[in-house]
Amino acid sequence: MRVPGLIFADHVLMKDIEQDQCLKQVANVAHLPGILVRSMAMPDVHWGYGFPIGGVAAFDLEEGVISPGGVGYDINCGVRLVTTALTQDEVQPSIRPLLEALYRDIPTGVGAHGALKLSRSEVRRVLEQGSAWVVKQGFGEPADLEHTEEGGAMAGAEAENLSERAVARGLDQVGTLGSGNHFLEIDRVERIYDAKTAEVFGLFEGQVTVFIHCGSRGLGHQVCDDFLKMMMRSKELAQMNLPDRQLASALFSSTLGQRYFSAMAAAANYAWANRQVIMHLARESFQQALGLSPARLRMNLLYDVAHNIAKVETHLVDGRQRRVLVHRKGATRAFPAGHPDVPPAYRAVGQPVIIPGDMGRGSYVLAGEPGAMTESFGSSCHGAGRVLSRKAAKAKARGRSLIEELSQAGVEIRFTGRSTVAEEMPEAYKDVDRVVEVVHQAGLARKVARLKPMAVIKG
Amino acid sequence: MRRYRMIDHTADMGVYLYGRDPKEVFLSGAAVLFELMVEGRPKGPGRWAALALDGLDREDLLVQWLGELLYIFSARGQVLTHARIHRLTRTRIEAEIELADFDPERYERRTEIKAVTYHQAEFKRHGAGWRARVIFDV
Repeated sequence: MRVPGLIFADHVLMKDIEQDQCLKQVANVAHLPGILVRSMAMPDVHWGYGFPIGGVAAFDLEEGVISPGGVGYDINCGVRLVTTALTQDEVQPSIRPLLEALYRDIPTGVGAHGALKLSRSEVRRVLEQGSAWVVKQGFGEPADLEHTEEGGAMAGAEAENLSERAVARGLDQVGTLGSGNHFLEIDRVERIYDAKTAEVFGLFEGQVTVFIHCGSRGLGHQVCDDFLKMMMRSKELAQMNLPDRQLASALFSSTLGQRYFSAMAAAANYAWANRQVIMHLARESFQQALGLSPARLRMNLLYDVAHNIAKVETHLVDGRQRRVLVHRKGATRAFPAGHPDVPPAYRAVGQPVIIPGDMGRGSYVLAGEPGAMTESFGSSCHGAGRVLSRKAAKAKARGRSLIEELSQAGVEIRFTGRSTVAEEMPEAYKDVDRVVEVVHQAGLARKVARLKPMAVIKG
Repeated sequence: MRRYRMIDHTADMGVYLYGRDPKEVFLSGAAVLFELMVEGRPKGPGRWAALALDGLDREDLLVQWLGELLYIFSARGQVLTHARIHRLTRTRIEAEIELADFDPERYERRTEIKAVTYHQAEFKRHGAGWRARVIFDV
């Protein structure tokens, strides 16, 4: 190992963490060339491919690597939170027709096709312009871009670095939710911890909000696949002598490293465009189902964060500010108050950090803290993290009516995949309250609000 | 001989593939991939196509074989109905695959497999036969 490892956790979370192989993966990442300071894991860590999910690692730009496994197959899987002017009391009587409208209007599940059927040249524009392109087509407002990480488009994206296969997979998936752990959820603000920040974020107790969690769909997966294969065949990789094939990497400064970075940025832009279209469709569903005007609904984007990405950022290393490449795989950026990359509206309080939990128990909104910049390269957790395998979750669900249990807990659900509900049951995930408490106590991000689900659609 | 056994994995889906020889392992993998992704499939006839792939080793070749079949399904909407492997070495496969169009109105999609990963990929002798391990990103 070139650097030590650091796990953010409490003693209860550590018991689960020690059960799977993620600790070994944190150690494996520490072998990568050019890694700086430490290989880290957030409290929602569990094992993934090469890097653990919940892993954070930063690298020197000249001597360090970029690794597709450190970003993940679902490039820019991320989440956005939309606020409304509505309260739970106003929406609850209409929750079922609202849920039906969302389920009808938002393509969900395996094989779903998007609202937009794009030509190859249009896909290329989405890859280079991200959210801005779909907003120009009428899917949202320019103001939405101000509250999206990177303004909804990373600089340096080059569509030509994507394979024809990746582009082909992107032709009809813009505006699709996908399946598995992706979802759209209606929540209410259950509790406010930081009233001043909540006011700046536009949150209030009892407020109805909407979570959207999805990524770059088949296009992103193909990009990861294509570049993993190229890196595995490179002579440079053979010299790195890495402990795990899935850590296949290239020097960030090499031609291959730069090509992957620009393709990754393009796929990230696709994901932002995807979430932008879904948000627009959700706005229309709310208007239609509730019979309310946009002015009355005031559905505004609080913020959109990526949690599978690699970014070039400025951080303090060995006492001096320098540009480094930060990999966040199942981890969220958490910049504090005053940081120039925090949108002006939030700069006084810190970047919103959106943390989806599970569909039964709750989710959080946090704000980035200075501790993230000194301890974790500006990073926080991304969610609750799985603790049960899909097989174990299905076994635990046997004989139970999960739909009924969720309904009794006040959560309505619509889904397409038969086994999805069991696989995604609340008990399959770590306790998000505990995960967030670790992040809060470690000074990475502070609690602003807790949200409770009212209804969810899943693929 | 059983063709496969599912492996417990926290986030995704793993599988052990079995065969009396490496060819059978590749065929088991192809069969399992489509069993996981679709319920009910056209029985044929479909269209035959040649497929040849090169890999670094057996593990890489298997991941590529399954990845290619996954791409055919996800991007082209075609399912594998039959496969014949004409030549298989440690680093090359030459096969013919029969493909039929997947009709989502008639057949149900099951799990969305997003990628075939290299994570814990393994291909070795096992008892009197062979066994491989592959983890799918779902």
